[in-house]
Amino acid sequence: MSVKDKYKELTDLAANLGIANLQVREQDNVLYVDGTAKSAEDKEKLWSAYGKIDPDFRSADVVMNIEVAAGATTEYVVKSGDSLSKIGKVHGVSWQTIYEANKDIIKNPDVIQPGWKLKIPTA
Amino acid sequence: MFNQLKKISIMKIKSILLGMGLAVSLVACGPKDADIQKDINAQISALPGVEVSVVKGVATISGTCNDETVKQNAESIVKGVKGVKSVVNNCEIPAPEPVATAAPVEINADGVLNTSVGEVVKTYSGVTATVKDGVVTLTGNIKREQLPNLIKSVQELKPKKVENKLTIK
Repeated sequence: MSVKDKYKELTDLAANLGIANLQVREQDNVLYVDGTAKSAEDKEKLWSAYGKIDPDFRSADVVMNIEVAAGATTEYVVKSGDSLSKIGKVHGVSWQTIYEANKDIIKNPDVIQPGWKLKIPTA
Repeated sequence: MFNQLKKISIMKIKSILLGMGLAVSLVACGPKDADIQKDINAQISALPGVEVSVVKGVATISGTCNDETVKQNAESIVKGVKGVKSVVNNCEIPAPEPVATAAPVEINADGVLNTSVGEVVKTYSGVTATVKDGVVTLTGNIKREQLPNLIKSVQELKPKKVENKLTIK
């Protein structure tokens, strides 16, 4: 079974979700999946599907890089005691959406610092 | 007062009539746009994709022409139609379709990966990463809930491969 076959469910899902600029390339037995998702939620769905096929991500045969389409944002300064989910609840967006819009600042969604200026996507 | 009102209304009617007269006389010179349009359409029916609109004798060609020859041909045809004063040729020649070949996969150099992976791994206590020839190897331990986020972040740094040798708690 080629790597492409192994991950057919994943690439089919990407096509169904309407991932923009979707590229699925196989090189040296690794499947490279690139594209832009319409929302952080769609990106989550892809990672869930990936995790189902390769639990614990042990196979080292996929490199998936899905961006999330950027839209209008408002600025928010992180206060001590904040968490992404808390900020998300206040602004009516999921924590994943905030995380995706601030990948340049947030390296780990569990680790945010007071004072950071985050871009909150407006629905 | 009644006399004054009568004067005003008569003047109004006169100017309306005058205006109408002028309007009719302006349109009356040469073939009407609608007729020119009909003639043009008949002539260019052999050129699918080409559209022409006529306003005051000026014909504007739009739509698509397969190549330069077709574009020039359309122009000559339209120029030759009676009543056409001038031609604006905006017919578009579609760009040739590039043959779709997959772009090679972009893999960042080890130096770049070392820095970017380092930044991510710094925030996951217990995790260490080594980079060799584009292959990122993750060792140490991590909580199960944190694993997907870590893998996601590292894969998005354009490595060749990500080896997960972590102990999952």
